[in-house]
Amino acid sequence: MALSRLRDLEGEMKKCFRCSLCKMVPLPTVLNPKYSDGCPASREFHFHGYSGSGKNIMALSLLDERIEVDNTLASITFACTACGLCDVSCKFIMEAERHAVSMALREHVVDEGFALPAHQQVIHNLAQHGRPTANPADSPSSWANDLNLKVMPRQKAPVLLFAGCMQCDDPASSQVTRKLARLLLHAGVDFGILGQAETSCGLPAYWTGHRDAFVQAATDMADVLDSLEVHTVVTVSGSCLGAMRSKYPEYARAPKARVVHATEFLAQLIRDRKLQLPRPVRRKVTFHDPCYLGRQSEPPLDWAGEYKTSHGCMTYSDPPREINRGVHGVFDEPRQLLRAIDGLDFVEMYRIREYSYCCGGGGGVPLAYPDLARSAALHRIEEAVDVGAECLVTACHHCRANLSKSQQSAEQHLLPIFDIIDLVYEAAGIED
Amino acid sequence: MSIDSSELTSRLQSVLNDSAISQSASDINAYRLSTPVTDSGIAPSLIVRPANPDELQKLIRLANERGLNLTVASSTGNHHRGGFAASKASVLIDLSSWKNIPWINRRNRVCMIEPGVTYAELLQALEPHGLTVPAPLSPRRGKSVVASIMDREPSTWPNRQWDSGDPVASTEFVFGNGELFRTGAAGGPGTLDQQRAAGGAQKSPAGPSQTDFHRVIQGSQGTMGVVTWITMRAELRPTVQKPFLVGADSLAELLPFIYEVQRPCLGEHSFVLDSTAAATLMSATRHEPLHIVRGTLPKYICLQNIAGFERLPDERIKYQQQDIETIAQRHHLSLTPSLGLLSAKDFLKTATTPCGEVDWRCRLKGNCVSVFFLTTLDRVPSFVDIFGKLAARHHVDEESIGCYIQPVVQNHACHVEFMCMFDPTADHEVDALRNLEKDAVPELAQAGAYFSRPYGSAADVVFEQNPLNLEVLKKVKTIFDPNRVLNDGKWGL
Repeated sequence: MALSRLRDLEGEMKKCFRCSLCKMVPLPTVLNPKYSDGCPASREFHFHGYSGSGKNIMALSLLDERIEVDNTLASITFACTACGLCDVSCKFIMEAERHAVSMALREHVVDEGFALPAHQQVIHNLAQHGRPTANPADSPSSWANDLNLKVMPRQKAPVLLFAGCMQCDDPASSQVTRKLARLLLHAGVDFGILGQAETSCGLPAYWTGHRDAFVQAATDMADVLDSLEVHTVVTVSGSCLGAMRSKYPEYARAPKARVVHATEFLAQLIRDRKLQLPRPVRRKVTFHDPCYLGRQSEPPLDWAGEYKTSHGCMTYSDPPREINRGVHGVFDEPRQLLRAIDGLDFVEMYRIREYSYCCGGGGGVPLAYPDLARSAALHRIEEAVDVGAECLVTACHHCRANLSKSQQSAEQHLLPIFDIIDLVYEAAGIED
Repeated sequence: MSIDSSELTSRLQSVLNDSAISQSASDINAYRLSTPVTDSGIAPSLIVRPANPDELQKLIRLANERGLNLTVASSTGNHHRGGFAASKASVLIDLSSWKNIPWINRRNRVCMIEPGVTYAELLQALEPHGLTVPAPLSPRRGKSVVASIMDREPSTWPNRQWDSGDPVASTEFVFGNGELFRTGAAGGPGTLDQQRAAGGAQKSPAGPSQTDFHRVIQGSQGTMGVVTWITMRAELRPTVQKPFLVGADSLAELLPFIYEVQRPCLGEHSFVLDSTAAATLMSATRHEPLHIVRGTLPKYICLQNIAGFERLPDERIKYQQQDIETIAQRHHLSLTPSLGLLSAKDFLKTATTPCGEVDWRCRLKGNCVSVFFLTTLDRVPSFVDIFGKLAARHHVDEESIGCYIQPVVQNHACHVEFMCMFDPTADHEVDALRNLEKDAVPELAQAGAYFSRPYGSAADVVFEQNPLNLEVLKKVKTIFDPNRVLNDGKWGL
């Protein structure tokens, strides 16, 4: 099944001429040579096979039946945070889909029975109780205790606060979600939550190459969201936004409601003067663009046509296709929020927006390759330190968790890590 | 430049040492073109050898004050093409003694060289660092690296070239107005040492403002400025090489194979010679007569080198060989270690090693004039056909014409060179070739040949074809050489 998807992408694979741009941020965007790497896996393992181009080459070899899937190939395939930097960097010079090939390769590896055990456990957990974690002991909605929120579908509201799954076993994520709910209440937003029915958006299945499981999760979630008849779904985590806005329509279908990230919703509330941020927050901060809030959140673009080949090797699309370049992700709203906070000194890192360096928290990497996840996080934190930040702010549960845990496991406490909602909440001056 | 010799000498002595000024006939004769086929211009009146950039700058300022006409050369030995040839009386600046290689940086794979450094000298200096550089096809011993790459001479290593300007990175030169200028990353901010201390390596041709001013100088043959040093990209030196030959009786059989190998950057050195050119190149290493060697070869021979470097060299060679063999089989071709009397190993070694004092193209008959241009690989057969018909029309012996096809910039284009070998003492051969060259250039240009390095008749043809280009060049020259002291009357070539 996935081999046929790989076959569909053969034209994209053949566009690769091994320039290695998939490993780094494009030269004109390099502000500091120390921070020119773009691919965490290439930075960690050094060999071409770990890059977007290397995966193209492996996929072509599979299609040509020159290699077979084995444990080594599986190990290289999944040692990747699925961040999509390779895709947007490649598109700096050509119109080629790198991320799609990497994901199709993962799916093929899984179809061939080489899924990683750590990832299989995630899929098992998702099937069992809708969440990737092994311990479903806590109630999914315990984060909302005492807030008296509407619980859908029993109660109706035009807006759904989609909490996601990480708050179940990550107290910090739970706190962030709770703060967002209080901000919405404070702004007078009529919203509800899913309560006990809160499940994962399914992104872990996408990341780990379990296509069927992801299609099922996306379809089920789209059905649930449609049944609620809400007009807006607000996700707390950037990862959930990327899943719903970009991957649902690609693999299953988009929900009818508008899906926005908390930063987009809060920025609109501020613009509408429904939320004020009166309390100064005197910190020097920098912002880490989460991959699935940013470059990986663009909805897929329709195209019908065929690949043609010139000179036996130059592949092109006929008619020409529009492509996503990662530039229409959610980049401005988090910065608008930070700049709206009085007293906050906001400095940018060297790799930002669509060329943001992945923190290592995605792709199922923290489960299967903790060293890679830690190395990526520490490199990103080092960058934040080098621009003079006193704390690192992000907008995704996976990013915040991996950045924090990596400092703990490395016993390096370089910077405090915050979700942007923590700062907005503090600036809003809401009394606990 | 209407001043007498003694006055000229005395003016030059105000900025140069006496020993740096030469009027000796032997010195001047060394800068006469050694081809009777194309216009060799007017020999220089004097040769001057400034000792350093400061003296060079003073010399160019003097030229501005006194209206001197300056030309520049960095190579030694026989000069065939005549990039420095002047149409007016001139003083030739000889930079061939500027042989410093002040900096080799392995980490960033870059080196800094002065204009007089030859390929043999540079390759020897790079070897202890595990580095090498792409080089033209067996350059003659006295060929200056700076002269070659500022002229954009093609190298035999096409997949290491990312831009037509490669491997030039940063440059320093003196414009015709006497200003010292640095391009690329070397342009600043900070001194070179400060840049290096901060992790910079003067490797990027794009400068602080992202404008590559070296492109004004590159290809201008000393008509815009005079280079004092460049930094150039170096490559890791292969630790293991496994060259192969692919033979074919027609280009149509070879070209799809080359496209498919070059596109994913497989292999390393790669080029095509026809049997005449291949036998000529190898004639110094074979004891058999040239025509015997040629008789054992197919019409076209592609050299495809595969190399391993410091990490897993054997594994790299193994997979690349498999990939390239698969492509060859798909096109009913085969990779072989030898073809006839030609061994791939010897062929690679000869192609990547400087030849003797005299260009290898002159070995067959004593001299050679080349007609070369850029095109795309798929169009080469049509140009071969056109040139063959032209040669027949001018009664030029087919067996004295060699063909060299060199993919450049990762095969986005290719250099095509028809090398017409002739006996310089045979007037009828010289006359025939002179006429052939004059007829061939416009006809090939009309068919789409792009004369990016327009020597000989091509220099006129390219400007006739696009007079607007000449107007632009004149304006650019007015900016950087307002008094036209650098080879006045010539525009590029």
